[in-house]
Amino acid sequence: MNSQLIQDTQFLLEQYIAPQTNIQLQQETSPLPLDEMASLLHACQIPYVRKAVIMGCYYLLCLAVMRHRDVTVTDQGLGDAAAARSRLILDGDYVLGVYVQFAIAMKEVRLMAHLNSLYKKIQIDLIQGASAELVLAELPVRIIDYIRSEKPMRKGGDTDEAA
Amino acid sequence: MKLHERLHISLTEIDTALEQVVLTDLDLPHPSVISDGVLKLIRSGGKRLRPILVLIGGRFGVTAGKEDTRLKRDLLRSAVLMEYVHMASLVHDDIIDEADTRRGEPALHRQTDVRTAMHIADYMIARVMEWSSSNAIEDEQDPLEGLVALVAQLCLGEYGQMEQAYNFDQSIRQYLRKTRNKTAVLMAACLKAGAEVAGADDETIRLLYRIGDYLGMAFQIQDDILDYTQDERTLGKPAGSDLRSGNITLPVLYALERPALAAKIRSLTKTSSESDYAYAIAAILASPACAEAAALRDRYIDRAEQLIDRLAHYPAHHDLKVLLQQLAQRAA
Repeated sequence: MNSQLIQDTQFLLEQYIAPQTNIQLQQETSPLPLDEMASLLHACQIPYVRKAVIMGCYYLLCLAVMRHRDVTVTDQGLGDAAAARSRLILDGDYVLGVYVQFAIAMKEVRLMAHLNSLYKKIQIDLIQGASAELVLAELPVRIIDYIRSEKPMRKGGDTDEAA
Repeated sequence: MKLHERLHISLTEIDTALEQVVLTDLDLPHPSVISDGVLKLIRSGGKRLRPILVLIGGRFGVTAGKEDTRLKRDLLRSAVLMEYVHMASLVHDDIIDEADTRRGEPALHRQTDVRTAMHIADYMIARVMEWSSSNAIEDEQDPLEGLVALVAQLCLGEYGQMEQAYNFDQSIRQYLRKTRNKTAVLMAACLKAGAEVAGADDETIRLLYRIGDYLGMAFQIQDDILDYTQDERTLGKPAGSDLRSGNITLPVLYALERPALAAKIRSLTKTSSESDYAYAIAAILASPACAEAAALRDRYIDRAEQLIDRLAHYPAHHDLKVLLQQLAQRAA
């Protein structure tokens, strides 16, 4: 179940990633903590398509953070290492921009506004030396809180992936 | 007279608003490496061109020429957001370009380290998104958040620059595409954002976007020319820094059209000696390449001027002409 949602999310996001960036979502070297988010979304009574969209927002935020997390590995970069570092910085920035584009296009601006404060705190924690994995752990909880707090406005659509 | 003075814009007001974004962040200890870093960046100055463009764009709205406190506040919000996006991108650019200085001071990653500087820039984007959405009107979608999506397009310009490093076969068309993504898009978006906030009509917004685009193209070409024509003291970095880092700009592309020069330039690599670079840079400067680049810059200025004339019924069209003259033909 989780792998299907993750795959569908990747397919959705690939439409937003420009080919010249060479960002391959299927071949991520740094594993993203996607399983827990997928499990939590499965339990939510929202249409499957929306699960994929929300998963997409989460995916992009995680990817942006992890790309910049990996920069620390090549902090003293020279030559090829410097080029790799530059690419990681660009990738992280680009993915964050795509996150905003995606959230707007998919009408999840309120979710984005809900997550802005946490995303900022993540950056503060990272500067203070916290691990990326640790700071990202609160994101799924906050996203599910947001879904539960929504008024039942969206009607229609199927709520399970088999539909 | 300085640009902002000619345009009757208070830089102090802009700078105060920029500082308030970080100073009002209750999650941030003060002082801290983050707040100190951001405040240093703000206080190191800068032309504040992007905020100025937003404020000028705001002079083409429905209330043009009238005092409107709410409009003024909303324009300042857009101006601050755009400057934060710009400042954050400069921090990351300096790391990528391995620049030692910015505005004559050590670059942020030289004052701290690469990791800290990179995350401070990330914080700036995150904080300005939070600040912007917390200032939005309840239950209304905040149009400003979409402006952060511009970061993706700015990155496409940087990807292009990285991919084309030391590629002496790139075309002028490729250079122009990269320049548009890297610089012109943000400047065009600033004028457009100001006009939208002020409630300008669609045609005016469309014209202002195109004017901002041409202005941005002229601005970047001038920047690329100055990299050859100015001395190290004025630039705050060695002349010809673009070429030394493999960034093939318009003067180089025109110089490559001369066979005698082309061979020397094409022989340059990452590992070429300082004297090889110094010779190539001097040869480019002595050639007509910079004058040819200036001619293309002037074509963009002419196009912008033609569009500005179509807005002659707005008093603020004079402000656009001032901007155009002063920015595209600036000496530093």
